[in-house]
Amino acid sequence: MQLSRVLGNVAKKLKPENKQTTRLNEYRLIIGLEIHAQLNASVKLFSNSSVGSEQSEPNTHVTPFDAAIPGTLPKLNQEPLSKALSAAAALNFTISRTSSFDRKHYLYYDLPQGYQITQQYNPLAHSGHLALHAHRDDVTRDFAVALPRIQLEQDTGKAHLHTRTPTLTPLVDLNRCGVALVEIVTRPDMHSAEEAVAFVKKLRSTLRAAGVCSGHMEAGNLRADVNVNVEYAATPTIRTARVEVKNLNSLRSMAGAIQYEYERHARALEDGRGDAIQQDTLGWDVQRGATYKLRSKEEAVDYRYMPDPNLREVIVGDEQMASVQEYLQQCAPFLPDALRDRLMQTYALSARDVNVLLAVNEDLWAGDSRRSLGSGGGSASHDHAHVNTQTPKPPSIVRFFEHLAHLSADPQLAVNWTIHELLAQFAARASPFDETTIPAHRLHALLALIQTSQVTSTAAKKVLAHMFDSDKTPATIVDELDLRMLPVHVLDDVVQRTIEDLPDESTKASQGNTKVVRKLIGHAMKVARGKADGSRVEKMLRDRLGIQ
Amino acid sequence: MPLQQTPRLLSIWTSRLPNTAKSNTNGSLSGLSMAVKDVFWTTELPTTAASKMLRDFHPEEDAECVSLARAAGACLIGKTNCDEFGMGSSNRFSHFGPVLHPLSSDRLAGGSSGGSAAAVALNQSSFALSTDTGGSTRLPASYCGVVGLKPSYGLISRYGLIPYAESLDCVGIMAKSVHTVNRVFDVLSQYDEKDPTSESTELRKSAREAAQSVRQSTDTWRIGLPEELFTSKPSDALSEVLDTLIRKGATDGKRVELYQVSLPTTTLALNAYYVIASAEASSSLARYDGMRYGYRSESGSIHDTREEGFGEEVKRRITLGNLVLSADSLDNYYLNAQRARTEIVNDFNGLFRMPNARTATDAVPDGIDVLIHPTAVSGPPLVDSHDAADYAQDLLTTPASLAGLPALNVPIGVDSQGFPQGVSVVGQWGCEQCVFGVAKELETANASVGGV
Repeated sequence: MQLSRVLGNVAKKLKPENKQTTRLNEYRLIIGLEIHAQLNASVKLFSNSSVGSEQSEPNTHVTPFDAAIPGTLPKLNQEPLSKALSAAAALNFTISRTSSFDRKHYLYYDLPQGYQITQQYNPLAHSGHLALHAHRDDVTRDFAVALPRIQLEQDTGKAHLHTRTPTLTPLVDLNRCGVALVEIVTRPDMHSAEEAVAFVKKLRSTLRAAGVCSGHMEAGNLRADVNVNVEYAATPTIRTARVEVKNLNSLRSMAGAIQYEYERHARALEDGRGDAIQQDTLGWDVQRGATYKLRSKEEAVDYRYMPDPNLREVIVGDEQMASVQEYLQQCAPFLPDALRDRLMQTYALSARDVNVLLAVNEDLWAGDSRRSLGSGGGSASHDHAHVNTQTPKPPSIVRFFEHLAHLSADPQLAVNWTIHELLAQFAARASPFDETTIPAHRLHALLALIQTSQVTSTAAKKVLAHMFDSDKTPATIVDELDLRMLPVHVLDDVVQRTIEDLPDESTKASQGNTKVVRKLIGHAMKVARGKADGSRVEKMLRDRLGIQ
Repeated sequence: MPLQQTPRLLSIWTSRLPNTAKSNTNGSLSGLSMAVKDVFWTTELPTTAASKMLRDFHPEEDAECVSLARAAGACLIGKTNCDEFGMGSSNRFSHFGPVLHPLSSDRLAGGSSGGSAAAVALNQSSFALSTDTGGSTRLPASYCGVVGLKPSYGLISRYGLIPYAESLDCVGIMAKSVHTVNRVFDVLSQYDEKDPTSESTELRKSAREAAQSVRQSTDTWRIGLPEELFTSKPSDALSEVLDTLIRKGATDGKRVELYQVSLPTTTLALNAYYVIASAEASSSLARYDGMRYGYRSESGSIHDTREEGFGEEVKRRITLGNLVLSADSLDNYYLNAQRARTEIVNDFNGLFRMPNARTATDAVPDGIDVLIHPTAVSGPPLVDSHDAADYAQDLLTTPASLAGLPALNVPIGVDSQGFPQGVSVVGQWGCEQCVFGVAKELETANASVGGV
């Protein structure tokens, strides 16, 4: 199997008749994921350091605790805890009333304490799930991915190895060190790269809608480790050893790694040497499009888990539980399934228009994440127990559309102007959609002129372009550009003049020569200087000339 | 004293302040000089933990306990030598050399807070701050003949204390008299939001009030003698002191009653202690990699840095800790040790007539107020002795550490060779006032029978 074909299959949607599917029927792919999602809290998990951005100067968001100065002590901040609880609730987890922190030990330059504080023994929540639906979620069957646990933990710093002399002590940036993460573990419920990708996309949308994670994989605030093995569909007891591919930082890499491993495992089974697959930990080489071995099972690190003696149990009381539920109810209308259902049912939009709206939303989120992380300068703190300070906001283009649809009372008109005309204007200016540039009420003022036959759609597009550079009302711009349609009594005169200007054609037309009607309409539009609706002019001409 | 050593030769200090700093003259500790074990942050002096690893470590602020003492008028005079990172019972293992006993150059001051004990014993300091993880305050206090308190876990902030084993580490206080220790304790025992294990003001109050209400409703002091913690019969000096108390009653007019009690699970304490403390040490010392502070090997490798920067005893305990936490051994060692610890807590709770506010365990109505037992199994450790004997010194001190209870050494008499002997008074969690009360009675009776 050539690599290009492997990647090609990943890029394309699997079609039912695809050969790949036939193969999938014979060799069943089993995929489980381990997702690390960085919470978008303003403060780190256990220190009062603010959270920096990708652009922050190295080591500018570091407190003595983050640098593991001996004598410092951790202090659990309420904001990241509250975000983690929101994430758990949005993913249908059962929140543990009592959870606790443990230490996971290993020595590396990016881990100043020599251990990561995580939740090995009593995680924050358990028994969650995320449902995927055939077609709407880019999968071909309805299924749910079981999520046994979600745990709250610290992120590491970053070690930059010297490329020329990798043996030299690396440079270390501790800005990310101690930022709050949630680790979400799935059961092996996915059976194709597409299903895994669809799951991560939906998980990401859910976390974004819950306002807890910006989900920008390339920036590292959403990372996936993949567990893969393959079994004979006919005799599932014959299966390859499970491998883990670590630190996949894009959906493309994830799909690529899964497909690559699938081919490797399936081929081994095909050749009757399934044992050749070792239970290894692997990395993904983006350039080569291949996995490589990081370590074998024998070399696996013993993390020497131990309860953290400095930290007390996390106790979620009734009040905090109620606050999480209340917050989730505010977010509920913006969770992926609810959002899609509402757009399709309340506004009767086509699947295609909904997909465009949702896709733009995801792009906006990715863009937002970069911007909001960039503004992380101010200090943060804060420790208002049981107060959930997050205000859920719907993704902005949907909010814009819903506002416009209500004002115009015409969802189809609203969606057409939102995703076609308005986005085209933003694209022409090479800037991302921003709902404040042309607020919904301004666009509505323009659409109202169309709805009341005062401007044509074509003229309105010109007006919209001008609205980007002017605060004037659409009506004022229409008048300044002289685009307002002529009133009916003036159109009567235009029709009368057309018949007078072109008597021969008029006669032919009234005798049934429909070809010349086009010419008459063209002339009338010229007389009207374009400020008329062509179909209206035609109707008036036909009435006047007695044409059926 | 048979032999008067000069302080320099004893290696009491790791660093000293040339001029004693100006202090708050109105505070409750004004006029008192303070020696601080070299595991607490101090702004003017380095904080080395008696380790090559931290010999050039200069913290930016004072530890919370140092800061509170100074704010109350105590005057910092220097940092005291100790076992490296507090790991040792003899003060044999220090980068600055062992601390010798004030009375003999063949003996050690005991550890790990040997410098603090010797400084107080030789009147070089009015009081000293120490630490106590498994006996590190009480043992050297006993050997050097001073009063030493390991308070209830969670009462004095550990913020700014270089950790050894965080679920056991306590800030200790040493002085010549129970009264002075009590005064310092009253200043340092404060809730600190910077220490997540610091207990709330409400919990402290509830423990204190429960103890007060028991004391007010009784006309006796009920003192328990746990048979498992008397490895030999009580010394003549202790017997005489106890006889006096029983005969004359306490100075507050209450009768003193002795009860033989049993703490069967305390026989598990020494093993459980070394498993838990080593496990936590291997974790809390994982941060020393030479990257951000501290010693760094020439090669720059983490392995070389740790190999060269840590002393032998520290490396031994890290190795032991790594072993007991490894996946293959966890069940056999660490989890068993944790179970033993729980049983020890329950054992103690079954004796006291005060409730344990921290574990929310009810009181035993006909129980005791405090326990007393010898602090050490033998006299001060010999300079030339076998390492293995050192570990057994903690036999009697580790139970209170594992249970998080207040325990105070008070000197009672001398042994056959003229070295001080100490008795530990152990109380229910948060009931320091009962511990001080009985310790003062013992102190007074000891003086009245002509003790040292």
